[in-house]
Amino acid sequence: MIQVKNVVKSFDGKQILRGTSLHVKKGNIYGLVGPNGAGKTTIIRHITGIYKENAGEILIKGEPIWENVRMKQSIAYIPDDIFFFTGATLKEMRKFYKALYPNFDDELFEKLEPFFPKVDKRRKIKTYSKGMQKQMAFWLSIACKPEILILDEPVDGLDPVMRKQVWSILMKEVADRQLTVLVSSHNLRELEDVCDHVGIMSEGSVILERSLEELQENTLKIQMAFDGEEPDFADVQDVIHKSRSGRVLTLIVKGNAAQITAQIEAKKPLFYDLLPLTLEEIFIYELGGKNYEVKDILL
Amino acid sequence: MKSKISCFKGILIKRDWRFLFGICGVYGFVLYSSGAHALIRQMRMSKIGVKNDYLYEKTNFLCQMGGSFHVFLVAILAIICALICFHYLYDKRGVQMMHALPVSRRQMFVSHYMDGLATLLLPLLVNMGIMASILKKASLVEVSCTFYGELMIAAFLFYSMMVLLIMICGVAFLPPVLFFIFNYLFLGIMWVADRICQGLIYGFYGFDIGRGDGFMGYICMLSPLKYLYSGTGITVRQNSTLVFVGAKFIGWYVVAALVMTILAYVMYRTRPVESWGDFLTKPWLKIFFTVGISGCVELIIFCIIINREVTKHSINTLGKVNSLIVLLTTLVVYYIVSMIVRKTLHVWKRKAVYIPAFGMAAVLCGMVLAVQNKADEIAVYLPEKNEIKKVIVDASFLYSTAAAKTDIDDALALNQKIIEERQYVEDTVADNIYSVSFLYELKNGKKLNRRYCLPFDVNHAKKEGCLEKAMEKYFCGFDRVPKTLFEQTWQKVSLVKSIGDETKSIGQLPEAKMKKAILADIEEGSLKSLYFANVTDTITGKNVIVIQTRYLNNVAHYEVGNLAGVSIENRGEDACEMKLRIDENCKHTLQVLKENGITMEKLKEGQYVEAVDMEY
Repeated sequence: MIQVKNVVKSFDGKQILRGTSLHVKKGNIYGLVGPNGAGKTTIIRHITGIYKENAGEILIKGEPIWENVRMKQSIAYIPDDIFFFTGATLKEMRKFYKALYPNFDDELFEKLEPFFPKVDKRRKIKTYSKGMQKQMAFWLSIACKPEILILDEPVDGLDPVMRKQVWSILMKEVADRQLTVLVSSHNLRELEDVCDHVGIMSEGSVILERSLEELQENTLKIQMAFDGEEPDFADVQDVIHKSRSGRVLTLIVKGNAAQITAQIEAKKPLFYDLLPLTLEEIFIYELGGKNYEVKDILL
Repeated sequence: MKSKISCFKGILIKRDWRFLFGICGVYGFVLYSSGAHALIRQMRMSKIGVKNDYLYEKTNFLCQMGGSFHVFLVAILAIICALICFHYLYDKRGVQMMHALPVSRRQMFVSHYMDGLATLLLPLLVNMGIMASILKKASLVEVSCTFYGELMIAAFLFYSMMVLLIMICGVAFLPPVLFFIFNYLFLGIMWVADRICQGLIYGFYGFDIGRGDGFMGYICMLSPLKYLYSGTGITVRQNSTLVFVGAKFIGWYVVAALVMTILAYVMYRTRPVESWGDFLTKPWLKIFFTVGISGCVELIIFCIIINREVTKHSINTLGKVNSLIVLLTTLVVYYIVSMIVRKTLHVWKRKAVYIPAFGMAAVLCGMVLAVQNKADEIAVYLPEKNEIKKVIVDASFLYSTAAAKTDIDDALALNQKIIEERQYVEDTVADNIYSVSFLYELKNGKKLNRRYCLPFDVNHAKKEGCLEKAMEKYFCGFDRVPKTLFEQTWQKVSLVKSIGDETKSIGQLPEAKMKKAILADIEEGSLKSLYFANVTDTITGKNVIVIQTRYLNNVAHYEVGNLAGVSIENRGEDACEMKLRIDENCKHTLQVLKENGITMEKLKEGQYVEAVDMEY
């Protein structure tokens, strides 16, 4: 559905995207995560056709997105910093979007109204808070019935109830009509609940792109204890993290679970335990390898 | 709303017109009230106009149309409309949102562009039609339509210029600033060149920009705003027909507007959204911008320094402007100014500023050297008598307007004298300055202008063969006295005394005798015209008489009083004014005054103002 191939982009001589590539399949909810300044918002703006890449290509359903009105009609975009026309009401914005998006569904728009009870369609949008404006953005975007929904920090500013509400609507749309969602967020706990694919960006490129299941399967957290001296783990490949708390040794290892288990058992630990990693932990430990780890504070 | 025409987007047009509708309406109203409505009002007030279908009122009204108001109004509205239509380009969130929408850049540009243009053109079209329906007569309708057509072309040009500037600039305040800079840039450069030439060349008159049908007249078109409000307009010819002048090449503005529109479109298509907030949207434009700004700043500094140099000679080394010293001084001041700008605004890199500065300095130095080399040659040049078809000599005398003298020999002799007195003229610092200009129309069709600012020095004026005496000889002959003043009947002559602000009549003088006496003294040469100002302070004694005319209730009055000479003024069709200095030699005038009890001693006591009622 969305193909980004080796996109390069520079601003004022500074390279922001260095050969970024990612792939989003139809019907997926793709979570794009990364540290601040990794280039997530930049690549999203390329995908929505705002920026033009210096090199590489961006294809939506096999067609380049740049100046492609037909493709843009199937994409709805909610940025982190939403813009509405000065003095516009939700009613006016509805007319505006209806004129631009051929699939805009009035019936769906009306059906969604109970989910946003505090929104008055006749009141000026600028008088609402940031969170309320975001609700209206969701309302309008979903009513446009796009094939692709691109969200940049979508739930930032929403209260917990509204967050759950919004995610449930999105999940329903994904289930009902194979809506493809690309979401960028720092709220990894929430993303973990909704995403089926994850891409981790760092310093202008996607360093890891997997399904969430695969990611969690291929990265293991092993806690173990040994009687006596700690053995050497040089033969265990892809140890991305090692720490000790008392006698308990914790390893984060990438690789096949069965293989790693066999290697650990060979060391004859007193006990060992395999724990699943959260997305947040995967993020932290992956980027730790890219010199973006949590540092000890010494003031 | 789906649009059948793919380059427009209806919903964008609808949004724009929420704001533009008001502007369109107000502009239309202003045009109507200053145009058709004002004409209708004049027609209603006319009592006899109905007999000839208000031809006089219509003709008179059309002559008054035009001027700078309408052109400036169009320019201001063009700026406003362009900024409204493309305002989203200056809002970071807005520009991103608009370009994420399923609208092509072509649709956005065309829709917004046409909205703004329609806002400007529609009121003009409507008012053109209304005016045509009122004027009815074909010749008047043609002139009126040409006037409105000129405004439409102006609207198209200014709007396209603003749109192009908006596509070039990434910040909202810059396009209007650049708009006015580009409209006056050429004139500014010509003004600088004019100042340099005037400062360096003795007798240089100045460039006649914007005047006449020649090259200088049309080159003013490079400053469109100036040309459209001063070089064009409705005027009445000698056969009482109305014509619209300056429309000959106005079509070139349409071409220029089209080119700018196309350029604006191309720039919009490739405008990077991330250029929001940058001064310029394209990196390659920065070099032109930097060269332009640093060049203009250096030019201004150069003008200030050279202006000071030619007037104060403060850094003069060899008796004339030393262009190298001016150049170095300019560079030093420019360095200081640009350093301050760089530190405070952080807009330039050091290299970007100094390289164009040196280039511009070289250009300016070359210009000064070129002018300087030619200056002496131009200063002493006069055409030969047999080359001259006609010469007009004019002088800005504060109290006298000299009648025209056409003798070529006399004019050349006076001009030659002024050239010979160059040292005196340039070295003398005087409070009394007057200018004398010479316009030579040559037989080969060319014109030669000279203008000199001459000082009046009381002590120097007493020397034999001085410049003042040469001026007096040329301007103060009896044939220079305006005859029309004395052709009129003097009905009443009275002596009026002024004490402070009070003026009262204290006696009557015989009008015929007074007139005859003054004429006789002028003929003898004892009563001379006073061609320089403030003579009251410089001529010893109060032995002067002023005869002035003024209108009260359409009746001309002459006043005779001892202010600063005899001033004869006639505000009729042949307007002229003469101030004459009376001394003990003016025996005829003094005789009449004495017969009426006014002696020289009495004249010296205070001010006497004589009022004369006369028929005109």
